Amino acid sequence: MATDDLTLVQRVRSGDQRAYKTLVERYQRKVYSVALGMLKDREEARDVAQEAFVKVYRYLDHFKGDASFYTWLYRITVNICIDVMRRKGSSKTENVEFDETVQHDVSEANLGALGSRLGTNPQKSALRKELAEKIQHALEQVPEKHRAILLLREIEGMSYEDLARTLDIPKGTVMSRLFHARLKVQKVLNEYLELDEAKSGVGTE
Amino acid sequence: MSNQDNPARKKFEPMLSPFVDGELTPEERQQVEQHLAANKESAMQVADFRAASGLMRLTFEQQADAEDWKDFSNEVLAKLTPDKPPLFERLKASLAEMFTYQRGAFVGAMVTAALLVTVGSMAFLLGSSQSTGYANEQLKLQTVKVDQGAHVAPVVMETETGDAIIWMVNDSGAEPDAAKNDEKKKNDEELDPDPDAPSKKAGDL
Repeated sequence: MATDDLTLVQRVRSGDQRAYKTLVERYQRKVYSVALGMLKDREEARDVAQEAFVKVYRYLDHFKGDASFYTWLYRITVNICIDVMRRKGSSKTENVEFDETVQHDVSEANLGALGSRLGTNPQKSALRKELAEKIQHALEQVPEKHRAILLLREIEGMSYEDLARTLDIPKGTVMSRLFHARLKVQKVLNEYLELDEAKSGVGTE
Repeated sequence: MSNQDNPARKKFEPMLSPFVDGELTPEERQQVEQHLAANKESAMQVADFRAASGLMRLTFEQQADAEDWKDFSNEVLAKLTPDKPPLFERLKASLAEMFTYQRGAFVGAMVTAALLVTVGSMAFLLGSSQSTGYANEQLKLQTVKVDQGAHVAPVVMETETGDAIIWMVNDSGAEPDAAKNDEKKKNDEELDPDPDAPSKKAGDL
């Protein structure tokens, strides 16, 4: 049975670097994926993932253990990503927030198109490199904070409770941001799939 | 049809994303399922959310697979510069690390070391108690013979353990000439008997 995070953290605190290696290997792929989803650049994502692990190690004494290690790790990862985006000035939608009180037009999302085109087997479509790029493009249209929630939910499968803890926001805000982020991604992907279908004359299924 | 035209859809729409994520209470879930059965638009939106979710997860998994993770954790560890703890702490950490990750080898080494120490101690003790030279051999006293006329004197010594060693010393340095003179005198009497003395044998004849 794998050793739990907290035990590994305690070992790291007592000077066991190999325990930290285990923690890094446990989360490296997902931390990288979140960073890649945020930044779109492989090299940058790798650098951010490394920086996040180094930072977590250096501040391990500040980790109280009242929250999960991984929520703390992802919080640091997301914060580094946001810093990088701001330094680069690439965060065009930095201060844009979806307002859940504002009525949004769901018809723009072309309901059901994505589900019917991708069918029940997304693997077939995911193999296409262009689609992966389109997902990155779709994510770019989503404000950074909403993007972080969407990525942590989809990649790590975090619960709303953990998302709220990781990003230090109320659970209601998590629900609202996640819904709007999904709607946006759905819209962009649908547009891409419609265009692709028109070009090739066939569906992706 | 927008949400404004359908109050039921407007009511349930915020619950669709938590529904996909399994974040609703059983009662809420049941209500949404009933709504989905009656509302095709909401059902299609749920299908879209699920399709996009699966697609994103798979895409990021594939992108993480494309990365080389062989040296990532070592690169992270190389960047860590912890404060050097005292020697005792480092030894303690090393032993704890060995005990955690190489328990079998560690216990084996300790047992071997203990055996070596025991065998070494025994060899040392036996070696230090044995004398060198002829006394190294254990001698068993059979008989004690003393030449007649020998001038002997016992020398008694006691060992640390209380055993007694008795040496019979031939004190030949004090009387060698006297002994020789006695013997010579005896021989002379046998070869050249006193002419004045009556022969015992002749008298007898």
